[in-house]
Amino acid sequence: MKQFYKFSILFALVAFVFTSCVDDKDAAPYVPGQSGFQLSNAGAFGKPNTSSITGVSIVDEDTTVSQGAFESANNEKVLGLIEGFSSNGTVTVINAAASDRIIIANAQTLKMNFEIKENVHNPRYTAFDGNTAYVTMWGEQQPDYSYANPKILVINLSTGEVTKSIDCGLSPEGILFHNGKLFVASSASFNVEVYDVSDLDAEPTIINVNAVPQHFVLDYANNVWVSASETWSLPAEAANKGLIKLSSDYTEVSARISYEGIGSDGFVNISENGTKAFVIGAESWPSTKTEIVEMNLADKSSSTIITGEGFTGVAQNPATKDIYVAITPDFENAGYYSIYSETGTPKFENQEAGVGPFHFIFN
Amino acid sequence: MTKGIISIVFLFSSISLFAQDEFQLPDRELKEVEITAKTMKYYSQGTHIQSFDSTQLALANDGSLANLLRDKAGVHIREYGAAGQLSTISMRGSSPENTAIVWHGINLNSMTTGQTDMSTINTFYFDDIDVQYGSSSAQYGSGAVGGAILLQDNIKWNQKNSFELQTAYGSFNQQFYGFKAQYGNDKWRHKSAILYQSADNDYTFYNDYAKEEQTQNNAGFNHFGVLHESHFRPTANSEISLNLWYTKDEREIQPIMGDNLNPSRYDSLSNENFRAVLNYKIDGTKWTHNASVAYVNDYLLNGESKIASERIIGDYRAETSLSDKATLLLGGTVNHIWPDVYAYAANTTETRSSLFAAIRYDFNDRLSASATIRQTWVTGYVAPFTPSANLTYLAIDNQKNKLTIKSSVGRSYRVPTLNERYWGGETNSNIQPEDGYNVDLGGDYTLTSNSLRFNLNVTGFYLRTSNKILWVPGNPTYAKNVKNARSFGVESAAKLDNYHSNHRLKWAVGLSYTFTDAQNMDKEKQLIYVPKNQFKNYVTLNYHKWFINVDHQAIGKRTTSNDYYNLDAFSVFNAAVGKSIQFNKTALRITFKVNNLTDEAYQNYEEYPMPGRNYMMKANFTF
Repeated sequence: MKQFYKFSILFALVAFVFTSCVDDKDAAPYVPGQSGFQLSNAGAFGKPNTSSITGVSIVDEDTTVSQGAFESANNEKVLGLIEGFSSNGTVTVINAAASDRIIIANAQTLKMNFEIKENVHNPRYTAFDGNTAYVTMWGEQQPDYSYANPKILVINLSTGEVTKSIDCGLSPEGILFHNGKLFVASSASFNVEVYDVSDLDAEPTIINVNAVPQHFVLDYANNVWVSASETWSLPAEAANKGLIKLSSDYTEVSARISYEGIGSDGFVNISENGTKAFVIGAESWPSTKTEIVEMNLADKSSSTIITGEGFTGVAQNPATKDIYVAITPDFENAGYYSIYSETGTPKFENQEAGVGPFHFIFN
Repeated sequence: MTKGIISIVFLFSSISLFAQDEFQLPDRELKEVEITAKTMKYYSQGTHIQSFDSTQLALANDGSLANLLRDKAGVHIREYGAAGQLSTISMRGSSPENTAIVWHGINLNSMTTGQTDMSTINTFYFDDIDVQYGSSSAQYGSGAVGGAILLQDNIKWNQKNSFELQTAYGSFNQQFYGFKAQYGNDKWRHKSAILYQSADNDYTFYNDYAKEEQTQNNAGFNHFGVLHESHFRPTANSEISLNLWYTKDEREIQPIMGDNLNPSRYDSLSNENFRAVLNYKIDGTKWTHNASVAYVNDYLLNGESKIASERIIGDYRAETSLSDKATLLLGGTVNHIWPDVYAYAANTTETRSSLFAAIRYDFNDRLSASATIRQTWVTGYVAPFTPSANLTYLAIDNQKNKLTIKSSVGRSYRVPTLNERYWGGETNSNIQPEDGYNVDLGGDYTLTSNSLRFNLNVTGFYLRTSNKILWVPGNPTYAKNVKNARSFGVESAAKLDNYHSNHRLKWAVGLSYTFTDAQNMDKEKQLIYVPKNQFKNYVTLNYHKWFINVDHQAIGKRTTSNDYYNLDAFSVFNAAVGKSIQFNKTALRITFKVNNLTDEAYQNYEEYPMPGRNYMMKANFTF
């Protein structure tokens, strides 16, 4: 029996030597600064814990980075595929599509003012009009993976109440408020819908853009542009994809900057002075390179200024004019952001972010 | 507190008494029917193989392969919720695509997804199951990177016809009805198994998001399957067999915890699988020839999306004894695949062909070596040349002590799945096979006294994988070789029993521990959902016709995609008590099982709460 005890001790020793735990890693607390930025990390499908907000704060010359900025500010997680992440300078609206949740938070501190869940199904993007926010909502998912009852929600930002909901076209994605009109991209069609805010119950004007509309930008001359791509079920002609300018009376397409390689989600962002748009696309398959294409909205020229792998978001910092690029290397690991000069020269590359980074908000 | 005390007492009693090991090198290949060519296990003698025979399977034969391996093997099973939900395997830190599930020479992994859902394979169908740890691509081809699971039938020619009827009923409306028979004569021998299993899985759990107790919704399933084999011996030295296996699973997909009360997020899955293998073996004067042709049809319907494939596999192998000490095996296989997937280009097909050779040389009764090589060609590219070598040495062999030293080294590969290669309508021409190698060194020690028997098996391993494939965002989303990984660790198991004694009380105590340090080499982070530490222990008591069994598993923390969120460790006890009753020629075995004895609230996979304490009553008749 002595032998057994000897082996027992040996076995326990081996187990002890090799036993080491998976260490928990704590995100730094979020400390709002004089300047900085926030980056939304959409997260992975079916894993609400992967949705987060990276907060970068600059106080004097000290920079702090929190990978759990929202959680730090609210002691709870965002949960569930962040789609829209936009701010009017006072509040930030976070649309968590998979958890059917619209969060209205203080733009500086990210402290949650209101949470809207009732009758919210797959919220997408937000447009601001003073104290009102308009949020697109795909509706309830059906057994065949289509979505029913799409809506535009009208939200009072002071009370967090949904004051009105409007029926709209299928899969409303990007949304823009401008000049008393509400522009909505129905991404299960080729249609841009234009609503008159003074009478939201009236039928919208429909503009067929001959590609799948995704997101809007407003240029330096107050022209409305919409990015347009194609999807698996809605292929579009190559020449129709890219950035599309709407006519000044918002009834038709007035110009196009064709870009065959535009990503299917049509990611677009406007430059700090409104003269250029940054669009994410890719070289033709099977190339795996993604690229940031700069489109001059005046002369309609375009050029690739940054190439790399896994670009999913881009924005220009209005203070420094640097270009910030969000990078998603895969759907299993945390992503990065890189900072480039206005001309595309790398300044800081592959800084840590969360899973699936997409949208920047600069303080 | 109570759970903690039970855990500690159990753990220390196991250590002090020592424990079980079924991780010993099996000798079943030496007992095979004389006509049968030796299996690839014969050429893998240096690897770590854990075997479950019919006796060991009896207690777990109302569940799936996922349940068996979760409770008894040094692997990690990722369960996406209740029994019947998606369950995948991770061996030595590898991904589910990197374990080959082999039945009659067919790798059951889906050609489209590369995985096998372990919850759809019920152990009731099989007589023996082997778990071969470490790379065995040279033996079993693509995907055998972390290891291989070998599902086997044990046809007994010279025994009486036997029949088995089993039924079980338990919590959450768990139901099981199964019938199995082996019958025939000297010329013909048949095996048939048919089963139906279902559960509502409407258990209660605490929803962390809603901060309340909720009833689990949309997690029910049912499984129907039939397996039939007919073996015919036209002559004394030849055998023809036809093996058929059909299964159908209808499942609600358990929603993530936050969507439990949101019917718009409920989903379902239906899959049917049919496998047929026609085999001919003939034992010539010099060579044993073994030829087979197989047809496999995998069909999965998720909503309106169909993911299906058909394949025909031809396999031929010939084996000869070069001398009293040397055995040579030569063979080749061709696998032609027709996928039917909405996201592939029309008329997509793929052919995979392999040539392989294996040789084993037994220098003497103590020292044995083997080598295997394989080369695979796939439509459009060539897979890595795959060699492997095995060595065993019987260092001590006397009446009381027996120590075998084992070692193996082998290259491994996984060719891209059809989804990884053809998703999006165009061929992904950049993607390469995953490549890697594995080194094992271990020992198996047995000490026998008059009344006690002690066995200890320890294997250290190092597994390196490059060009690992992940899905990345793109236009369209595509698969890409982006990651390098390595894992090292120890698989250890010990067992102490008195089965050789004359005592009426027979007992066995087992303890196994698996340490897996698996790193994403580009990030220095433990691979997601791979526990570093796993303890799996058991105690079994048999007295007269009664038996009691208690299993315990303790799984350590696991990392997730979120670098700042780890899944908590958990510890689960399962218990069973039963009695065997004899009526003339019919034996009845009644078992009462309590799963999750301490009502542990835990998640095996992120966001999917597991059932709390639950019960099952099982009756098994053999005649």
